[in-house]
Amino acid sequence: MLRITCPFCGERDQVEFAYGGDAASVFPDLADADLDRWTDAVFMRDNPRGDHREFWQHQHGCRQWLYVVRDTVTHEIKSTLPAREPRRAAATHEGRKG
Amino acid sequence: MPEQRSALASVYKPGRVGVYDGPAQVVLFERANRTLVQVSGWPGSFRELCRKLETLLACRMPEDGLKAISQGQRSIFRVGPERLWVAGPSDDDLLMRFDGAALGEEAVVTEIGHSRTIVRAAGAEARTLLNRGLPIDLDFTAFPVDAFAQSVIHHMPVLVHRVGDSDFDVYVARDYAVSFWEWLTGAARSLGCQISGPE
Ligand SMILES: [Zn+2]
Repeated sequence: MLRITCPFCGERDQVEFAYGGDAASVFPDLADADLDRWTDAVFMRDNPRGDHREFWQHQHGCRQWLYVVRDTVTHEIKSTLPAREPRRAAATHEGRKG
Repeated sequence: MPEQRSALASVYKPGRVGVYDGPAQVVLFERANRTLVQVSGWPGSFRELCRKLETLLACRMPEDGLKAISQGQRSIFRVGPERLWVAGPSDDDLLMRFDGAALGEEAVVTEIGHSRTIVRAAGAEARTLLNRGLPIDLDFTAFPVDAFAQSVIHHMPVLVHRVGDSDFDVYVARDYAVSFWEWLTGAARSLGCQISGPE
């Protein structure tokens, strides 16, 4: 069971949250017609051992989307931020690049 | 105006619950005569909106999503970064005040009173009862009077507000009211529970 610290509501139980997918994946510009880049963005996911950037929604709390860094080995939640703030930062993170 | 029908009308039976025949450790009742108004704003202008609301309601606005501001019969919850719930008695003139304040595009005001059923759990074991399903620490040091939390009980979304040392108001969506009541009265069977009439 995870405990996630919502920046608005404080530390809460995992049952209040819904997983919202990989936050490291970056979609190409809509005008970009390159099939490989789109295939990569839509279907390909890293499976890192260690830090994983992901979206969670505090579905039963403040309803905010969060940007979370979770260690896939220890399940430690290393950081949480409102997703509206670091979306750009997430996009340029050292993880997957578009 | 026709009288509002309680979502609990089909299952609400005042009296004792369970087999324990000592003094009731928990008292449950529906808070039927409440109104609830949601005020939503935008990131750029929410602070300014709060200042206007403070003048309008002659009351401070909550700074965070952890503690409500209660004044008289009203309680104000910051349920999201730019979202407030204002709860008051059903004859409160909240909507008239908001309508008259010309909040314009700075706020979206929605009356949501009929969307929630409010249940009061009171008494020495009220906390024990709620914690049979609620993953929130209700110890007084972590959850003092006027603390509130939006969370889940038995997969049902709830807002729990501590209104006194051993008194809690639970706001549950009307669709879940009957399921919640069944869970609550079931979980209370071993505690010595009295259901009193709606207030
Ligand atoms: Zn939250």
